[in-house]
Amino acid sequence: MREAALPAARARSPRLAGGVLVAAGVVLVAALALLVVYPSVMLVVGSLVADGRLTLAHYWRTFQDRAAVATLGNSLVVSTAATVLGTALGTVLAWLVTRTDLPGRRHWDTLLLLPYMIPPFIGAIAWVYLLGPAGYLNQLWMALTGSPDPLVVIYGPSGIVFALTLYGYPIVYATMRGVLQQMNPALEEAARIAGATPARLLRDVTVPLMLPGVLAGALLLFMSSLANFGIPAVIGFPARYFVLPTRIYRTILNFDLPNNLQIAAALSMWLVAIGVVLLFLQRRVLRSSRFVVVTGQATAPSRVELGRWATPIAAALGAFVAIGAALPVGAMLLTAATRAYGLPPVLENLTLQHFETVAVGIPKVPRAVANSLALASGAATIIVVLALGIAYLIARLRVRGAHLLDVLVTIPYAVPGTVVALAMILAWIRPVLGVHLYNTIWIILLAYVARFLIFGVRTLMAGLSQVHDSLEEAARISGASGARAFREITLPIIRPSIAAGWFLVFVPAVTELTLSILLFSVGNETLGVVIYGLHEEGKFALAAAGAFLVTTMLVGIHLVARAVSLRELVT
Amino acid sequence: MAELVLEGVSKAYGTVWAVRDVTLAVADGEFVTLLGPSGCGKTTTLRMVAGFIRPTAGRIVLDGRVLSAADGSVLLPPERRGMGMVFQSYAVWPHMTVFDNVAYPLRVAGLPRHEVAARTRRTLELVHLEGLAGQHPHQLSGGQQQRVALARALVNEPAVLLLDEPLSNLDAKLREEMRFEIQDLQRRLRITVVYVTHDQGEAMVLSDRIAVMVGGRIVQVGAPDDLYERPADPFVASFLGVANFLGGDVVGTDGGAAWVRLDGLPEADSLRVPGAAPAARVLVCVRPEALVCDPAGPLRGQVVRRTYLGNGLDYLVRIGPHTVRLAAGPDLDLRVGEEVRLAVRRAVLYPETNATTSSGRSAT
Amino acid sequence: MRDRRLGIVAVALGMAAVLLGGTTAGGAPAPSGTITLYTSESDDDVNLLTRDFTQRTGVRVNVFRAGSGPVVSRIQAELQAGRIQADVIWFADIDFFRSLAQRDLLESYSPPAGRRAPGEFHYDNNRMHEVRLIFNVIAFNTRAVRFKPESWWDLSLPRYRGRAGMPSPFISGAAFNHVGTFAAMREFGWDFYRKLRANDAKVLNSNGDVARALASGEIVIAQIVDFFVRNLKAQGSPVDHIWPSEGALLIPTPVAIIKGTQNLEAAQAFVNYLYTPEAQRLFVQRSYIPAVRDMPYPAGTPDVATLKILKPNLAFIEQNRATIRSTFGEIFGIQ
Repeated sequence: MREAALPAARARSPRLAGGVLVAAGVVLVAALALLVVYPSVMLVVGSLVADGRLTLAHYWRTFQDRAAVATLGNSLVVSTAATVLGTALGTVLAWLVTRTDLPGRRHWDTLLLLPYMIPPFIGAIAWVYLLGPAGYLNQLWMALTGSPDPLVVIYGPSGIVFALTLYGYPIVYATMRGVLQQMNPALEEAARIAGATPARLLRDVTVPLMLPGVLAGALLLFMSSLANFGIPAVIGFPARYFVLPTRIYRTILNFDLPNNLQIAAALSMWLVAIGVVLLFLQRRVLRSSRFVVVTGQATAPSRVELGRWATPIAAALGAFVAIGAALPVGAMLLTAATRAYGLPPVLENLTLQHFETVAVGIPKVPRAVANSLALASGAATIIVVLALGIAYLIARLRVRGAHLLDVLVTIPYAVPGTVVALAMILAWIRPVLGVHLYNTIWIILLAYVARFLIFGVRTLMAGLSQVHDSLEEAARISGASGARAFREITLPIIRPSIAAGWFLVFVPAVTELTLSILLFSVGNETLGVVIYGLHEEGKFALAAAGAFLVTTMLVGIHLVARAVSLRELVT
Repeated sequence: MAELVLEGVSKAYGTVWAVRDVTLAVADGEFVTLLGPSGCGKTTTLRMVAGFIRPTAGRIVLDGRVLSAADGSVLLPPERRGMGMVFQSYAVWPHMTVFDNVAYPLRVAGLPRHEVAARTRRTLELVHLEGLAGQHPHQLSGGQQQRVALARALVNEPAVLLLDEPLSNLDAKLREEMRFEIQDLQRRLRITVVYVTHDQGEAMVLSDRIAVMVGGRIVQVGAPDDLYERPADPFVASFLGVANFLGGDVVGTDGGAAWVRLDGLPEADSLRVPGAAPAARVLVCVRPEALVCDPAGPLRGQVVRRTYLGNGLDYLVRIGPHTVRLAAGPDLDLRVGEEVRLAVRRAVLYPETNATTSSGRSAT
Repeated sequence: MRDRRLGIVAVALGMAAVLLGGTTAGGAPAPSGTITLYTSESDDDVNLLTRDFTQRTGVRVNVFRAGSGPVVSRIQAELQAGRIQADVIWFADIDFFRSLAQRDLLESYSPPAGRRAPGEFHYDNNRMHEVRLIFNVIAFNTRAVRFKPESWWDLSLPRYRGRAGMPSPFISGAAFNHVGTFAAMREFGWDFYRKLRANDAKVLNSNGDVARALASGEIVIAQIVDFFVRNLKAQGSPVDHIWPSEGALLIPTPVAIIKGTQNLEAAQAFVNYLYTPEAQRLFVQRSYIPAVRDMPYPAGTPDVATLKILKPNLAFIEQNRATIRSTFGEIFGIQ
């Protein structure tokens, strides 16, 4: 997947596509974007309204609220830390997998993406299961060493950073993997023949050229961390460490506060503002550097031979995967396999009954599986189509508005899911043009599309911008219409971007919680809602079993997709 | 002494041999070109010399120093081979200025700043890029970027300069200009060069020697005139310039020459070709410029096509069942349909195999 | 022309008939159709009750079941957008219910079967009703605690330092009521919470979170809603609870009908159903103490009449919401 922003000035031909294509494209994009943009607008408007009047009072109030400012500070601290760590991690790992001769690369690739496939809330809980004061690891420690104190307790800001990094680095990893695969290998070879050692090569050539991708991935990770609710709720609360999303949630629950929903919207807009500022900065930084345009070259990147470093690196990777993926999955497994939560996980207390119950004993579950898979694939497909249209309009037809669009798709991503859900309710509770969306599965679909659209747009814009006009022009000279040229020439070339964008949306959509829990209705439960519901009711083992099965399912889908030669997802 | 020796260098990918048993010695200061059609293994060979590909077999030795050994015991990484390389895509770093690009090898080598500056500037002058030191690549034209790549490859005064089809992305006029510049540079700097191209014109102009590669093997090595006048086989002949092939039977020898009766023509019109006859059935290979109009010549033909080239003319002449191309100066003015008689100044005989059949097989 | 006027008259008559029919009390038409229920009751309970209800009346119930947080959020959003879409709501946040009642959003209704329950369980002029009783009790981890606790003050015993827990009043409405009620009581007051804090008591998330912490041993003693502990214990988790000597705090979990519901009969039928012996028996089956007087309690539960029950001090809470919030926040360092 490629995640580079648009390159600087390049000659582009004006009207590449035929009139019909343009018209259809504009209509499609406008219609669908409206459906998605409308709630964002609702949110912004909502934050400016009190008792029916336009006002900036909410914003003034949030500035004066010391507690709100403090939680914002906390948010920035943990998000920045997690972004720095996660970006470094994701980039290094992507480099190892794509540019070295690391043995077993394909398997590492799946393992490194594993944290992304764990339902986020349960992923956070899993670390409490492991490193809570009575967590498995701590209990093991105390049993082995006889110490009365646990080794380390996950609660608190460091725990939040830890969890955010661990579950967030796959975003950067996936981004950088695509960027590195697409980089012109000759640029690195030139440095090597000029005498640069691998370390120097990295520093002087590889890293600077990766910068666009790194910044793009880092921005996504940062916004995702800022808006994250589940991890701070689970890991921060017990240590009395609060972040803005949890405060926003509390504001929403504070029903006797006048205009509490509007205040919540205003608080959320802070997150948007930060996101937009960073977006702006990113554009500035990237504009002043030069981009490499890949014009469909043939040679594959040469790989750095790790030599005697291969074993230590593989060992380090193994340790990392063990910690990052195996431990939480193991915790889920252990909890799911224990007869009753709280009993020690010794052999006599182990059972498979919870797996069976979750899989076949709860009618809601298969329904939720079907719903989630349908919603996730639907959302991913719609997003890809939408993003393709948007990217085409902007990259090829030079329709202005790339900046505005960037901001609009950022809003539903930068704010906590709860807020997006509320905006969706406010936007769609009354039928629009006779269309009932509330309390149907469609509103959930729309919410997913709004939320994850940013992934599609980013991925496809970058992918499309790297395909030179001349390739399509050649087809048109040969007699193909604009649409045909696009379909038969460009689409196949950007297939990696499309596939990557699809998956980047599909996975979190399957396990999504904060949107679904406010928008679902009878028969439209999603996996996130069902699993979380089980946990919240006190059925911890069932919830863990459900989460484990969902993760397994996603890993299975990933492996199948890869086997069916979607080789663009791996090197 | 920068003598580069390849001994039995081979590269296999699975069961496919991309390069098979390449043995070549490039003398100090010599300009050797690996020439061949795409897929012949020339780029793979070059990249093995550079160190980007590990050979499956064979040895590469530079100046007595083993760069890669047959048993795999030695494999010097590219950064330690002390070579310069110009890539087909130039690979000029977009995030660095022209100056930084060219200075890079010197900086990596740890040279003091003033020396880096001085040498970089000198090299930029060498390639006529003095005024553009502060520019970024995207502000330069293709030709200028190529010079940057060249400067960067030369700044370190490497023992060997490798060039991988550097001119293929340039337009014709620029290509020709650059050809001469590269040649000029090489002669002046007396640098050993290994050049890869599929363009025989380039190869002929630039090289001291050419190694023609087909299917991973070297089929002939020699100076351009050697290869042109005495190609080892019909493939080489037709790859290097235009060649006419006429099939026929050897009907007699005549003290150091063979008489060949061409297919479809009377024995009276047989050709006398100096040299031993390699087989009973032969292909006579004649260059277009080796055919001349001669009223006493053995070949009777009729002009079928006339192409005006400005500095000369190219004729297609039908001789019985054969068609040949005739290259002539502007003075020879024949009309289409005109009857001519041709004589053969120089020719080479090849045994006729299944792969190369006779009549009508002229290389265009 | 004539047909049109006939048509109008027919429609008018029809509408009149419907209106008249709808307002007649005793001879009301049988409930039918569908109602929507927003609730935080446990999934199993809700399924049991709604299935039984549907079987008996034919009315289908669409259930939106989530934690009280999401339910409150959703209702607020719907309200903001113009209309609450539920017909019946049922969850443990009486303050929220009362705020709805104050804005005249709840329907007043006196279910016939409800007469079997004490009058005190019909709140706010019959606008909300208690159908079964749950309490905040003291629970403990049976593997870690040797001596059963007895009093609320045990939570701040030195041996439970750092190992006592409670749900957050900022997240759980029931927990908020608990804090408010205790703060107003002379025998507890804010001192009670200061002592808890001094003993490093943990303020966790929701009751579910407290249950998790308790079962795992992260905390060993907690204030928590009784049915959570009961359910965990039934599954085999090492937890149990006691009825505190000062009394267990009743957690009101009212049921109410939204004013302006499209299917008033069916909504009323549902609320009424919850008081019927059939429904109350289901509650008992699920180990809840029933609201009606004449129903035997679940095996093993103490007799409500003989044990101390603390009622939430709703008046105090309503007047002092902000203070309760800020004082608690100050004591525990939660902004």
